[in-house]
Amino acid sequence: MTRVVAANAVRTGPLVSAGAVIGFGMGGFIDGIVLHQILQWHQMISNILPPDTLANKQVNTFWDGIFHAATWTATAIGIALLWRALRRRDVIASPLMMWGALLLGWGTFNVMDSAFNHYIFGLHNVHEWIANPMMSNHIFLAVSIGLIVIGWSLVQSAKRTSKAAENL
Amino acid sequence: MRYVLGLSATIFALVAFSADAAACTMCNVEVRDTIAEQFWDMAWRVLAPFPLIAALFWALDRMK
Repeated sequence: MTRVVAANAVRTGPLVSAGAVIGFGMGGFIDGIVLHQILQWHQMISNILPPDTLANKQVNTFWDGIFHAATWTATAIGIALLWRALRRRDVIASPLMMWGALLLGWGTFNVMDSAFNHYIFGLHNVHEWIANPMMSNHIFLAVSIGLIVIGWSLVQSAKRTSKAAENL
Repeated sequence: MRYVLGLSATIFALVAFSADAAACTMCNVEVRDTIAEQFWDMAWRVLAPFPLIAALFWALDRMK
């Protein structure tokens, strides 16, 4: 079914915000699954309570669970927002814009993780088991800013593409 | 916006309270006591970045 919408009535905000919130939540899952569980570079409070005994490992796993519950909530809210966005007649479901929004949200999660958990509260470092863990935090932050830049660029590119199509 | 904030606040509260209760039922006394001692101090730190989703949503939703 083709939706016919006046060019000046098209809105990108609902799709981008939904995609970014999903990206935020899934970014948290990537951190939790890849860095906490598969690579085991850190856990949620591993800088405060190193998981070097079974009891400390269990306490860290508990806080990993709380963290995952919050990322699950973020993802669920994002899906609800996406559902709402796609039911609107003034929103165009652009795949490029969605990818951009997902990367934007992922990068935003990582920057928040860096700011709060790595630098302000010192709950954990990205890689606890290397000689200079702070260096891993700096690299993680740089990559995260890169994700935001790429995501934002894709969103802007999708907006320009859709505007050009409207003007045909 | 109010639905996002309301849902977030409700779920965070449920997670926090149920986790607090779950910590009390753990078999390992050392683990249970460690979690109980630091629960609220850690809980707000671990969850602190998440309410910023609302700010992210608010900023992007207004985009033309």
